[in-house]
Amino acid sequence: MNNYWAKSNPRETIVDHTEKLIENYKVFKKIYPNLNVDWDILYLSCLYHDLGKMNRKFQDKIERIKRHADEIPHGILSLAFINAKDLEEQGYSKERIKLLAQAIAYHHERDFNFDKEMLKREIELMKKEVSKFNYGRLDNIVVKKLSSKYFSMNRIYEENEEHDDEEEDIFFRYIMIKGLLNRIDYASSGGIDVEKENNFLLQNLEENLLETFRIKKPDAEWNKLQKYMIEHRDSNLIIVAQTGMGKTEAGLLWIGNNKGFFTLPLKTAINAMYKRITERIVVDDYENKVGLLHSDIKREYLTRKGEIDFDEYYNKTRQLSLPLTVCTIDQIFDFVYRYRGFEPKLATLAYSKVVIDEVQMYSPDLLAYLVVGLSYIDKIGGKFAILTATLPQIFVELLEKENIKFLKPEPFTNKRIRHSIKVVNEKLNSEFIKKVYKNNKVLVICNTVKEAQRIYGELSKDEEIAKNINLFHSGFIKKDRKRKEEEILEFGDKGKTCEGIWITTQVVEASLDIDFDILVTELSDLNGLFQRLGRCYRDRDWDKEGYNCYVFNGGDSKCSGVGNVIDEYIFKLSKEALRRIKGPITEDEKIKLIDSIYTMEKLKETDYHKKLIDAVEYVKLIESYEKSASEIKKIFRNIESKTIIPKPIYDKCDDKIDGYIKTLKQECDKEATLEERKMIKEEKLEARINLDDFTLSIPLFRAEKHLLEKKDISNYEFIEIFDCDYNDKTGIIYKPKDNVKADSTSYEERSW
Amino acid sequence: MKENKKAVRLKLYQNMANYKKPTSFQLKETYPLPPYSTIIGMVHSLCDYKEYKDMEISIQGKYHSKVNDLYTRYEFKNGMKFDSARHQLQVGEFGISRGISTVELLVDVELLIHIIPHDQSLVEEIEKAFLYPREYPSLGRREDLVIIEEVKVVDIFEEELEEDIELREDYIAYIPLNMIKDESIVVDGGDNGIKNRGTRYKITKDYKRINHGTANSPKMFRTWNNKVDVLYSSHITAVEDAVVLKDVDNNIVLKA
Repeated sequence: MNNYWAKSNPRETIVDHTEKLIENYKVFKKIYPNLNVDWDILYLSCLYHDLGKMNRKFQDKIERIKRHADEIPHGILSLAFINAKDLEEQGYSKERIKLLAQAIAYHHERDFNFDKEMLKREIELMKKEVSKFNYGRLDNIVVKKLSSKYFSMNRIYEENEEHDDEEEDIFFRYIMIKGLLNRIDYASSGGIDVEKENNFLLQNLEENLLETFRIKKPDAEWNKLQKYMIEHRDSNLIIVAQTGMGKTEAGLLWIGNNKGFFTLPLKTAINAMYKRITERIVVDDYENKVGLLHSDIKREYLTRKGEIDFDEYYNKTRQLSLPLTVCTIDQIFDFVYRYRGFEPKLATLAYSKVVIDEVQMYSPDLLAYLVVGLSYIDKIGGKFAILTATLPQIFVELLEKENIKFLKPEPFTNKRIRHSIKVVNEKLNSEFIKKVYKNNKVLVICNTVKEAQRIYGELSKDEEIAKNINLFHSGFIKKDRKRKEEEILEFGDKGKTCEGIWITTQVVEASLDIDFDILVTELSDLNGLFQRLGRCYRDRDWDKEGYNCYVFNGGDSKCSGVGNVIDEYIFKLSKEALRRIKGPITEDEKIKLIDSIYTMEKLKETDYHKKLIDAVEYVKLIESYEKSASEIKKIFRNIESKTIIPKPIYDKCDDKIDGYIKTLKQECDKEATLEERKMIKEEKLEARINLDDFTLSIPLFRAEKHLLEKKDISNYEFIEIFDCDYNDKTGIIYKPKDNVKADSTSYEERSW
Repeated sequence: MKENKKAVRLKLYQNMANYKKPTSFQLKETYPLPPYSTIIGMVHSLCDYKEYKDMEISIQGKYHSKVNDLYTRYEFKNGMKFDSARHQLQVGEFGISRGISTVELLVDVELLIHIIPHDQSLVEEIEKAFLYPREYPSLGRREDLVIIEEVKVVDIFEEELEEDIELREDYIAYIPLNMIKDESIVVDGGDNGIKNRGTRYKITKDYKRINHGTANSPKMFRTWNNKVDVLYSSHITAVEDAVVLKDVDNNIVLKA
């Protein structure tokens, strides 16, 4: 009796699996009793979703008797168990039954490939099985093909008409049910709780942060920004606040005891924030409270392998079960394309609060995703707060155009003066850097990797300086990059005084907690410039004569990267706006300068504007479910780069690299026990991370030539060796012939 | 059983046919099924009606493929003088250009048509007209011959369905849009991301003659009365609990 399997490895019956879902359903409902979702339909969808697995063909597959090529997806077969007549008699409307049927039919996103006759036959066959099936929660099971009235192989699409408040868009109701069913199902399969309640963050903030401030200063209180965020927890917010105002804390205070997502543009910054939160704020039991989500989390988690259950923690994070998640926007905002299977994400955001930090870092297409994404979050009931040092006005205007409601208070600044700017009407040169280098920590930021390498090369010729300079940009293999990151963080630590020069690209622009004495930079655009200023005198007052920030605007010519990666017109506007700036500058002045440039009006003619508007339109025009998740991944990450191993690295470490590849290729024995499988999995994971350490991503056009050897990892995956020079001081140097398009290289790779 | 009426049901076959879409000239395109007006025209012609008889029509069917064929095209132009150097026919001093053009043809057309005259006393007459046609029947162009495979007078009635009725899987039909909107008829979804499966047409049905001249020298023009909003689609299901019109042989009648 009841020996119908739902899962293999380990085997689990349909009844047991369904019971797990119902447990998780209860957990979920207890945490969010007031959530706007049709609880009854959600319950029914948990109850019915896997009953279709009762068919012989599915059972044969689990029992390893045979795989049938003409197996009908069990989601469709489960529909035969919905007793629509009965439900209607109980008072369920046709709409609600439709939602139930849709959620069940599509709970796995698979292509349907069967005809109606096959379906009918299969349902007939299932009738026999049912007589042997017993489940206390279901009495008088009737198996019958579900009428097309409720389901006809179609989908529920977004409705364009406006809705009364009473009558909610069925599209969003569907997302809630299907999304949460998925969440509950995945969690139950993975043996984790669907949600962990956030009942700690406020307390942790008070005890672990405020109390420590009070040790130094007994009357310490949250500042006015943080108080504002506390008072406006129920609103969408757009906050402009200068660096050093405690934006991170403000964001966390706004999230309060709710489920929250904290997004940042750079992986480096995300790792740093994750570390800060888990080490200083949410200290105990962090693996049940805080997650880290970007394309490279396995590596981060693996470093904590000793203290956590890697698999479980990873699972919980991927399933968005944790109360607080620090992540990149691509991890959550890819739902804007409404690809097949996007529902769990948007449904989760319906009861979450999303903090978006440093929006000015995002390129036009990513800003467009934000605009569209925020409008969906707003519609489905979630909340967002944008926290940023500088805010392009045009972004605000776009949000208003989408009818998104938000509060935008006056910028939070203070009267402190941290920067004194000198605009130099020249191209960036190394001689100048030598002059300011004395007892100072100097940060040089160039617009392109090539320019950074050039400056580095020039300075290295000076023997005295050579030992004190470092170069950091995106053209390093992962291993070197990570080391450099650690070094610059250590070197740039607030408390540390020493002398030395770091030459970088905009990899350091945002959210890196580093503090230098002197900034020498090329001009890219105002936004970027003020970000760069934030890395110098981060939280100190400037009370000396002279300057601490030198901006080279290229003089009569352009700075590197302008015209290729930096919009020429915006560069020109920025250059002009800076003309009258000399000496100390307040935070208010900075914000006013930005506001004066990044308006819809001023930017109307630019490429930037066009790209932004086009991207918003493009995303909106895509029909829901048109694309698959993997297609979206490609579009969203705008993959125009290729991961390679530089030849000099391969030559040096080929035995290691080949060894890792061998490990990755090895296959799991069919008879292997669970333990053995787990071991192999971990081994592979470690090999993958180690292999990854030797790689570097380069722009696709660079990769056209000089690819040497292809190393297969699996049938679908390979890695290539690229002919170039490389050393751990200067990074990648391309073969000279290809330098035609030099400037357009990697201004900076995308943040992920 | 609310409405109990009679209809003349026809099963027709055409080897090739063109039901011309208005506004297609260079290539005479065809509708995928004959429009209501084309059927009504055939009925009127065979019955030799000289004035319009109100009737409702349901059209379902299929075709096997499409081909393009050539035809002779005559071009008339107001006041065009005859030019012997061109391919023209001479009509007095005027010329009519003659050339070739392309026409799109449906191949192996099979139709299931219900004709429901408003005046039910005409049923027998119409049946006769198809049983014993007064001349060769055609549908589409004059040369698009029709083979009449069956003529049958059937009872039709409205019924609340106990369970879904699926139309023949290979049959396509003009489904009046109101039946889609009230969801008594459902068409299966196509592929992911395709919101509406089928093609929407506004199909002509009947016309009025409107005088644009004076009482003494009338200039009569035809003006289409009401065009019918339809969805042209296949994989059609009439759903349970819906009230739909069917004939005695369980065929759904999609009348307009």
